[in-house]
Amino acid sequence: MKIGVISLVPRQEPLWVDEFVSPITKIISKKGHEFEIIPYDTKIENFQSFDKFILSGSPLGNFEANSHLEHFRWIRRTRKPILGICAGMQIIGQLYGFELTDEVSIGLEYVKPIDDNPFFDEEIQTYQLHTKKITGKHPSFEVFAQNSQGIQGIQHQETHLYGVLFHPEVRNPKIIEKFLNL
Amino acid sequence: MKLAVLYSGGKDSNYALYKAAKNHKIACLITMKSSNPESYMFQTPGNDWIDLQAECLDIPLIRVETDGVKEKELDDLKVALLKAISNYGIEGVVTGAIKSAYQSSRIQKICLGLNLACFNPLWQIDEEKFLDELLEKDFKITIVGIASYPLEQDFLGVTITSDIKEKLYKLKEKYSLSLIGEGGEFESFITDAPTFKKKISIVSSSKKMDTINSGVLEITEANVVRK
Repeated sequence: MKIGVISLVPRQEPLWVDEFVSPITKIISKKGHEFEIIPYDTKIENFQSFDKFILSGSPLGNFEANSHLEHFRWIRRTRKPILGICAGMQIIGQLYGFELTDEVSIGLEYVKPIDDNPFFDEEIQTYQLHTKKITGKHPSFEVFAQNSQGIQGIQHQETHLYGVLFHPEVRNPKIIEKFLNL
Repeated sequence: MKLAVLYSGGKDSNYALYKAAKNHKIACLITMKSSNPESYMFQTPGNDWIDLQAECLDIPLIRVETDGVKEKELDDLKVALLKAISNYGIEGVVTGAIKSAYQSSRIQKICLGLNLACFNPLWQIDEEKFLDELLEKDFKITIVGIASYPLEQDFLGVTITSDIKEKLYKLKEKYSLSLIGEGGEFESFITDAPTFKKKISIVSSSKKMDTINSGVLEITEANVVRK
């Protein structure tokens, strides 16, 4: 299986690719799958060759990718499974009309599922690293996880389009593994 | 970007520095000298000899004393970062954090508050890959602290080579030890690295053991020598 890992790291700074993208590709490799890291502002060559996509997180307080939604419109045109992590989830939310509002969360926090989802069915401890969250709603999306700060997980009701606000590559690699197994 | 490296003298912060130095200017090192040997945030063995490492790197060192009291240590770190901003114009901080959400999140918070970029290039790195890279790049890693069964004092003062790497793999298989001491099993001190313009020669040392599986290598004399 070939996974497209969309790097949301600003200027593709290598130190941040190491921090936000490599932990994801490490999990993908461990499960024996192929991957390609694609900068978010690059056209995805051979789109059909990819089976799934994961959108990485980005550094705290950086919204460079979020400010260029034109690079992500392909997400609305495909039925290929996509998992957005943190900034990746925010971008999915923004594409569907959710709002970005201020919410600083850094460190370990518990998140609980509030709806059936492919990833977890009981409260989990997660690693959070963000200064904004998404709020609002969209008829195509269900919120499947939340905590006291708000929405933590969203899923499209018809396609395999998911977003989690926390960083599963840090404390919950099984979530990424389950996404790969969908 | 001008960066400060949170520097403990061990393999993690040295490798993070090596990675950061490829594309950025390392303006200074920041070392926290903790009077608490079990500091939650800052590794302590080998701390007294970090000045020699700074000399080998030819990078200025900001050294700040801390009582090592949990959470209070962070105020001391903030003071150090403000000094780095004022004296060296740093725009970001590099750490050697690998798995510790405790360490990483606290430094992220401080950086956010000071409007500094925060880089953790070793975050979640694969242990085997990391150890292999350290050896390939010719980092000279001396073990200066142990705190785990079945490590004993003969492990102190050892320089990690391919042979020692094999021993570490066996310990990992049998006892679930971290290959890179990420669980606190051992602490390291770098005497040479690709970023070092000179290197350190440890002239004399002594082993101080608390228990059969816990102790430190106290370096009593060391010199900077040409490579």
